[in-house]
Amino acid sequence: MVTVKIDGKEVQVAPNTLILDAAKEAGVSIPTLCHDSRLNPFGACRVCLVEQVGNPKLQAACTTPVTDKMEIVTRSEKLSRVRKTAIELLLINHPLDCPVCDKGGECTLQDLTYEVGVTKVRFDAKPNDTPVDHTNPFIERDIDRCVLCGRCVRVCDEVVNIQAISFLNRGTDTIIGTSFEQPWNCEYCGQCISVCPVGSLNNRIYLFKNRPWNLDRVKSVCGLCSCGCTVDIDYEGNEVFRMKESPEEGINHGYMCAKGRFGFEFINSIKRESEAVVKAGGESKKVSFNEAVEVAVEKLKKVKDTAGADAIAVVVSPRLTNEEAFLAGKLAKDVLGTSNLFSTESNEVYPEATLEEVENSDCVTVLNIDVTESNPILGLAVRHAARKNTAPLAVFYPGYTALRRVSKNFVTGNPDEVRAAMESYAAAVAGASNDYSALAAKLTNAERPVVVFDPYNKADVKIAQDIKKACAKVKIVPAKSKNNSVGIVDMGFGAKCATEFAKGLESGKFKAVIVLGENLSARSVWTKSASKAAGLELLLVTDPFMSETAAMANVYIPVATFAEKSGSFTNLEGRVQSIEKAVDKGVNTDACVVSALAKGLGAQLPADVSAVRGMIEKEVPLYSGINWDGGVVSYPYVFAGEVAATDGKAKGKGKFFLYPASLRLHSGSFTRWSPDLAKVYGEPMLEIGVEDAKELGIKSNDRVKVKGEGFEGEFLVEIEKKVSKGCIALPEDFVATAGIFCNGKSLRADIVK
Amino acid sequence: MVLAIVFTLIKILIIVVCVLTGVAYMTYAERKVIGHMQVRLGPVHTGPMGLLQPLADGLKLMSKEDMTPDMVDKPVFYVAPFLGMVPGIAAFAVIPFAPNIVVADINVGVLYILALSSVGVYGIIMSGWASNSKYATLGSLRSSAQIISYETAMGLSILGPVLLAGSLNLKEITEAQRGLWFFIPQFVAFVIYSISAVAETNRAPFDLPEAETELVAGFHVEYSGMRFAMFFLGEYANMYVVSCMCAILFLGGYTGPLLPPLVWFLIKMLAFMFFFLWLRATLPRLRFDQLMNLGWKVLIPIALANLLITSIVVYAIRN
Amino acid sequence: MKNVFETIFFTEILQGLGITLSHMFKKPVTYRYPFEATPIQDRFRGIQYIKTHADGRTKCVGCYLCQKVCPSECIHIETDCGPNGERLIRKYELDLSRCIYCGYCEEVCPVDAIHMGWEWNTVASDRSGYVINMKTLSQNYKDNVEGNWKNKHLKKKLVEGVQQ
Repeated sequence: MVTVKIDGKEVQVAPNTLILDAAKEAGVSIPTLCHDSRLNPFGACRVCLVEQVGNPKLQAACTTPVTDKMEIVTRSEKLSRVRKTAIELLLINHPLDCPVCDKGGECTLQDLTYEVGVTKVRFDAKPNDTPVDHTNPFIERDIDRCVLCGRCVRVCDEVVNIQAISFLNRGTDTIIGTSFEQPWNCEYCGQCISVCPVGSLNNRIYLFKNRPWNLDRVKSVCGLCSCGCTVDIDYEGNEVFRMKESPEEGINHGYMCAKGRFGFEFINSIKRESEAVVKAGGESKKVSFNEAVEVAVEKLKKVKDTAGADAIAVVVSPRLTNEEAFLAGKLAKDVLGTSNLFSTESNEVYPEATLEEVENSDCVTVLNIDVTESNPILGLAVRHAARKNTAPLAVFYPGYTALRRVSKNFVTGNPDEVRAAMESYAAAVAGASNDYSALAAKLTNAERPVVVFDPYNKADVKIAQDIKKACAKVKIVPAKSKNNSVGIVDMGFGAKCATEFAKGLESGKFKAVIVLGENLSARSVWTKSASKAAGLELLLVTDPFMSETAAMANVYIPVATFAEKSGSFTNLEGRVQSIEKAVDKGVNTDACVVSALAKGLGAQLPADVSAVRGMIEKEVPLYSGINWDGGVVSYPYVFAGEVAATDGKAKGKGKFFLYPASLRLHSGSFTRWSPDLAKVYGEPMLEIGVEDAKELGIKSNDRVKVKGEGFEGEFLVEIEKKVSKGCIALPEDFVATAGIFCNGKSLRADIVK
Repeated sequence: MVLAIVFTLIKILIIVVCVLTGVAYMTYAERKVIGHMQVRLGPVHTGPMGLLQPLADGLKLMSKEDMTPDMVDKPVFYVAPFLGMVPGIAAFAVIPFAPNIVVADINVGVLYILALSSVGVYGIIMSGWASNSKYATLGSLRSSAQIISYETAMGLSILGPVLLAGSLNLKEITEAQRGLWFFIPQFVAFVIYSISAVAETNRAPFDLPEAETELVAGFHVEYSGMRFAMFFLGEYANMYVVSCMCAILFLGGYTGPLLPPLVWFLIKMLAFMFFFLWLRATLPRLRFDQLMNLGWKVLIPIALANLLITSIVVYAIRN
Repeated sequence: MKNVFETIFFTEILQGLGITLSHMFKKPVTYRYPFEATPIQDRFRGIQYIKTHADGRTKCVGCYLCQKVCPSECIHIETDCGPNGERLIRKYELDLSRCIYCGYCEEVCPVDAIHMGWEWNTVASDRSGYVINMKTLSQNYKDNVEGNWKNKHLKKKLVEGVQQ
């Protein structure tokens, strides 16, 4: 520890601490512009200059480490003069269009200008008037406003590792730009927007829609993928205007992905339903919430009396909060007396490693999942480990993913080759000697190894289990897909296999089905049997939108999205985090629906979050005494039992291997309703490699037919150089593609022009 | 004989019409004069310069609903307004507007007018009593007390000119001032008369019976429409009467050089009327005890002293 | 002695009478509204107008500052991104029945768009006309410049004031 004196206050800090951090420790604030604590020191803006006693030169606080007995002065006449000049120099080329700039009101440069008191620039100010760049669908780039702090360039490089933007030219001609001034080739994560201290990079979804001072803010948790990012929901009245990072907060450290940052618009969608619909005799009628519940209760009673409780099934979506899932379970088990609780999730595998452990791991293996697309924040953690900690990263995937930039061991090929490679790798970890022994040795020799895999692919789960068995110190990360995929399993919706529900539908065992938020048609396990649900005595569907399943329902009740309710989600680490209600769109929550159904059936279930939490803590042992604001559930085991060996080989016949692609812009049902996401990616697109495309003579945006055993479909083509030769990929969560992947995760197919 | 009666009736009619018109335009003049004294305009809308305003007011009052409150003593309530108005108009019978314009040139003109002004108070008392309202009762009590008190002072001050002229006939009193207007030898009496006249007619600053702030409107608070208008007419007619009396007793009546006697008379009368309005625009209302103090402790003793001195002087000169 | 003199000769009352008499000959201060116009001072704050460029586009950029500064919260703005990525004013509404004519909006406007006009006559038989939008505000500017006031009496001098 070294002792430093900052503005007369003495503090003890670790050696090599930056002056800026030491000052924070001492409670002294130093103005900064280009500094970001998550990024490497840069020192571009010279706003944080401080005086060191005994040194005639001024030091940049954000780049200079402290030494013992250092004495720092942060406020003096000289410094305020220097800072003022630094800001004045920045303002030479900065257009003073704050009234039209979207950053106005939350702009660091604006704040600093006020702070140092610049009212007039002494220099010959000549702002440029370059046209604004709109080539990126989500990010507006106005290089005139740029102060060249480099935060966007650094975050894109150090954190996201895409390097989509960089400094171009030298000296006074320097600008932030893309390579060869081409359109942006990036992940649309918007990290650059979040770090930009001025209005140079703007969120186009929010562009000019409102002003920061008009917005109210709640800190909540993103309800899209299972990473569980802490976000700020900015709203005015009952409209959500933007979802943005909580700076440097949460398990995501203030990073977000394209879905979270730009995909929230479905909350405000005009396509959302506001009235319940009851269908009787082929006629649908808009009714009130109470009437719809009455009809549902009537039918539930009838089915229970005539066909018994076993003819009733409850299906929940992993979008529900823990509280709602728990209530649904209570309704099924205690009120209806049925044990038919279904969801797409299974209780085979539980989370183990936290994101922090992934970040700090010294060896990461990613098995057959495009983690940067499916779970972007988990992807950032994997990148952090591989890049900052230089941990060896092994990736197995049919096709190159964004991790290729940081992975020296990228195993690709067609899905069957990748599967064989993974099996060999697992065997090598267990001790066998093969091509992957060296790679496996890195894992077994590491202190904190981590394996990331796709828990929805049975064959992959088996491999992960084999690795875990062979090397117990390996921590596994099942990359679950939805915001509460883990939580609903904890609440009891994972015990029964999802296929059982499909069988029940097919055989006509179920007469009444309650579907809370799920879209049966878009889930590959159920999509084939979904049409059978239309003829049921009761199909009660709750969904914010009129989904394909909701359209079949004979009782439909519109419900709230995650921004309109309170509760908690359990993310892929098993971390329970509370969400806050931001807006009210005038619809009920699923909890209200369940509570009203229970009341109609003569039981009492509370809809209030704190009451339900009390019940959960009593009845779910895993959650007893849990901290609902970030507590991690400690699971007694990782794998529930021996995972059955499945043949992971591609099924059927055909020239191409077809595998499910992950999408950065969609994670299933809700984001399809976001207009700006739909503009960029509106329908499932067939990804095909460059060589194959050339061979077949197809171009981007052609429509081709994909044909395989038992399926057929026509899709738009997107030529992707990352896809391996002989492979094609389709996203899974669309109705059209769910019908394909119900045949298996890895298929063979032909392309017919 | 018949001709004389018809002739008299025509004279009465002319005078009544003139008096009523005069009263109506007095309200207009009052609003105009006070308006200008307060740097306002006064009525300007109805007709050129608002000259039709009194007509509009009259029409309004006539077309208004005539309300009779439930608990009033009806016969008395109905009679009171007439008793308030008629004495005021009747007094004009003896006023010599010019040497030959007078309805009834009687010997006891002064006495007649004093008597009528005393009758006028009955209208006020009756209305206050009959209205069955505390404001009206209080207003009428104040009014009668005030009128009775000041009538004494007024009567005593009138006696000065009467002594000098040696007659109760108004024409003779006027003629007696051919050489010198009585307000010079009888200055004290003139001042006392002026004050008492204002108090007698319940005008500001002695308008306690109608004190809006305390009594809403005083004795006529329960009256509306034409009945209310009658009280108003009575009040203004009384003002004319005391103005005429002042002109006759102290300012030489219709006497004066050059101009015709009627014009002289009107000038003197209207000057005194203007004095009424002027006072109203200038002075705040007195408290009731101040009013009584002034009447009994100041005016009456001074008037008595004035009377004594005048009598002695007149006796000395005559003998 | 002086007191007795004053009491006997009513000097104070006479003084008062003198004052009222002299006031009688002063010019009355009454304005016969609505038949006669009340004079409007140069710095009078009436119904707002929003300046336009020569080609008719509004000068307002939709920065929300007037909405923020308005103490009676009578300004409501909605903006959006236009087809060419420019700032587009979807809605600019000013509720005259709430406005207190304080002039803060004029003060805060960074682009010299909104101004307090001289027109003040908001009398109407229903409330709907009180919420005025950008179209009306721009028209108000035109009217103010051309002196095309509802109240014809507004002087020519004021027209020059707007044009400056």
